[in-house]
Amino acid sequence: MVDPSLSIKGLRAGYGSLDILNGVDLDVPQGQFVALMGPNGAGKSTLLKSLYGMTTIKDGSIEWQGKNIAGYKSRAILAEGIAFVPQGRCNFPVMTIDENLQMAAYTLRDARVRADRDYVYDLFPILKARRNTLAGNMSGGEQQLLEVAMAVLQRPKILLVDEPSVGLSPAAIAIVFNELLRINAGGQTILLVEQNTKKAMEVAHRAVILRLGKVIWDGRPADITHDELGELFLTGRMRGEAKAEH
Amino acid sequence: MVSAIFEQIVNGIVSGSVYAIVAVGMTMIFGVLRAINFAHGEYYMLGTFGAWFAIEYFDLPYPVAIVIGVVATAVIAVVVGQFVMQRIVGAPPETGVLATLGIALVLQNTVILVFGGGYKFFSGGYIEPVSIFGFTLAEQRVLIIIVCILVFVGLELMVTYSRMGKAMRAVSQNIECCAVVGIDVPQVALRTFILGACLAALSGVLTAPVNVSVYGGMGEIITFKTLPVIIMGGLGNVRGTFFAAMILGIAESLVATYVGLQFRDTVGFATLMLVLMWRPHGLFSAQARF
Repeated sequence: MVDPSLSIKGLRAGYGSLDILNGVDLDVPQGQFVALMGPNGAGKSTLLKSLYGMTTIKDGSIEWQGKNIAGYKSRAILAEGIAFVPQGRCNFPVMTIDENLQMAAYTLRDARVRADRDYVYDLFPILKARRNTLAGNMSGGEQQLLEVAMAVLQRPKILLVDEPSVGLSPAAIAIVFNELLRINAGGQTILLVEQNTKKAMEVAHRAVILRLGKVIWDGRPADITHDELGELFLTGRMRGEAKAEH
Repeated sequence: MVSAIFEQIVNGIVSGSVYAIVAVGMTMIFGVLRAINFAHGEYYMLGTFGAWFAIEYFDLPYPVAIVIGVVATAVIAVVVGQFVMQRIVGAPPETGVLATLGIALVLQNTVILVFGGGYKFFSGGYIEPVSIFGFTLAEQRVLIIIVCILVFVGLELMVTYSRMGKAMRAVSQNIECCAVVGIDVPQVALRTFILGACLAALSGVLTAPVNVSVYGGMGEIITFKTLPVIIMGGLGNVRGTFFAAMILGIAESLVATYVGLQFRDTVGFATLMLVLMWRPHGLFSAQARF
């Protein structure tokens, strides 16, 4: 791969003494939309959390624009241009949309905050219309969009998104994925973890499949059928293959 | 008779104001640090001692003594905040209980060690009577009510409009999300704690001319009166705390006059029990907010 902006090598990480990732290698070039998939417990969320400084890293490196950021704290990683949209609700429920965005811009210098909010409102007009609504009073889909917007507001060079479809209706899922596609079309690099494989395969440029803390398949979504994907999830290998390609 | 009741209500509002200024700091500290500050009354005591010291040893005027009491408490709060309170964030609940109880013992006994255990006489303040709407009231009591209103208006403006105030609300609503968006949680916790301690000190200095006596153990009773106030107000709720403090102040005043002075200190927990039977989340909200 040519000039990857993110290059993970031999990453072993987990929580306390428990290892979840057992040597992950992954390169993500700029502008790509990558979907991380895999069965439960494969380490997808742990990989995103490791990139955001929320796990214990035992071994390996996370090269980000020529710098090894393994072991950095979340705030420092954010300053390096990596933003994270965690799984589940991550907003301030009794604050308005506008206040939530202000909080998301907490690390930015004040003069820039105003302009940045306008930039996000232009990207997500639905939020602008409801800027004075309390976040907790919005639908799950709108809250998910808000959380994506809060991350986008940081003007990240790469956006880590963990299972944005959880708990959302099919209509809301469609909206969230459309928005992700749209910001990716604007040049935003996205690393997405998703259980909804069908939806993820539709939008991503590239699918990376994790199993038991390792990458077992990496390629274009068009190169794998849904049945093959299921087979990979269950057994770690594809029919007719001695071992899955790596 | 009616005017006598009304007078007791006014007195109740004065003590309610005192409780409100102390309690609002404790409830904000709870909102941000998720810990009940069992040493909260000690900052009330420290403020009073600071002012008493300034008046007694340096013969300074009362307004200067107020500033010295609050600033001295702020300095101690910075030290305690950095070494203890910041580390409570995210720790198991028992850590906060034990740490703050420990701080209470250390602060109280240090003051007793330095200044002795006896009662001291507080000589500052505005004790001249003034007449308002036909009532005679010491000027100091009027001052307490005015400061209480200013404090609450100020806090309301701060948490609504200032960057730090919003960050305090953010931490109290979703601490994990603060880490994700890059809010410096330990810094917010430290500032909230210092603010809370200063408000407790302010309350102490304002009440001293009314209570007159100053002693090392005076903070304990304040902590235990503040506790039912912040629970009634809905933990972490600024406005709720104000009304709960007023209810407690007025109820205490009426009970002391018409039931018996010896029952006054039971009013807080008795009211708390009644309120919790009716509204288990406190009077004003189902969730912590300010």
